[in-house]
Amino acid sequence: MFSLNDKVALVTGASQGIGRATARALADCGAKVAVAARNTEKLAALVGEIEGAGGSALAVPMDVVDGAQVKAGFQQVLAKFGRLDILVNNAAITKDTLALRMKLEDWESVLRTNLTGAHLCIQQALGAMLKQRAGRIINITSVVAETGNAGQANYVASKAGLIGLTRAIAVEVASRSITVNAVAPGFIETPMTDVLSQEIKDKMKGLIPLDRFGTDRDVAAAIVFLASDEAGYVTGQVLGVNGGLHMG
Amino acid sequence: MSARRQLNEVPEWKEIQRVLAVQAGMSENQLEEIGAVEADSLDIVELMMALEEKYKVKFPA
Repeated sequence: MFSLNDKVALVTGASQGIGRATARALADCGAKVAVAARNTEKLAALVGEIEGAGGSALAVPMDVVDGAQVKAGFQQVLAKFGRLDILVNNAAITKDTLALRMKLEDWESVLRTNLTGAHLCIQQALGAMLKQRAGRIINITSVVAETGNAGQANYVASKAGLIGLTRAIAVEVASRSITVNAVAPGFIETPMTDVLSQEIKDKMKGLIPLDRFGTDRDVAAAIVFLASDEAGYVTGQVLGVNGGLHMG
Repeated sequence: MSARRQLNEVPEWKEIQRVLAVQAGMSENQLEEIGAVEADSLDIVELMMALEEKYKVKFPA
């Protein structure tokens, strides 16, 4: 894997699934990792795991929809580690139902967590990254941002919005050697997808050319690449990690 | 696409001028030079962030 020695990363939505695997992978590559989420118990356990493996980690209790908490969280990271090199915007929720029956509050809460939360974190991260004249921002979108998905209008809109946000910020800060990219997982086995019925899972698997569901480690590996020095000439891109489910 | 503008176009410029004169001891000529800095948007934003941090002032969003 790539070396991230002396780098400092912050991962949102780090308490489980892709966020948790990403935090572990970044730490395994040498990064000091701040893990952010609402669930403090899970964060403490993750910090224990990373430190137990010889890494350095910090738990940052944070709800990304709350601007004050986001600001305080980033200040906590800078106070502890003195810099911030990598931001992974992974925090996301779903509140699925067909658009015609979707409550406005469910539309707004998904957009607020998945898209506005990323924007708030980017604002805070850029303060440090601009000074450093370097940085990596990686937004976790989804294959459904490009394919659409029935019953997920709010989630799909938020993930498509993340791609636009990725490209807009990539242009804004490219002159400071800060790269901004998105990773678009396909069907990944996580707690968020565990709740789907076996029938839907079987149907999805039949559409995947590589004939298996992805793992959180598959996604984490792509994130580690984009966070590395070796990806310094990659910006404004969407990297699909979907087993060939969608090629675009 | 960068909109070129000057720091003295910021609404709080007069207050910032006052703060810089008092706290940093800058002369009128120095302040005029800073205010007339023409740069792309990101340069201005960075300058504003540095001034906010140094002098605990707040520019408009």
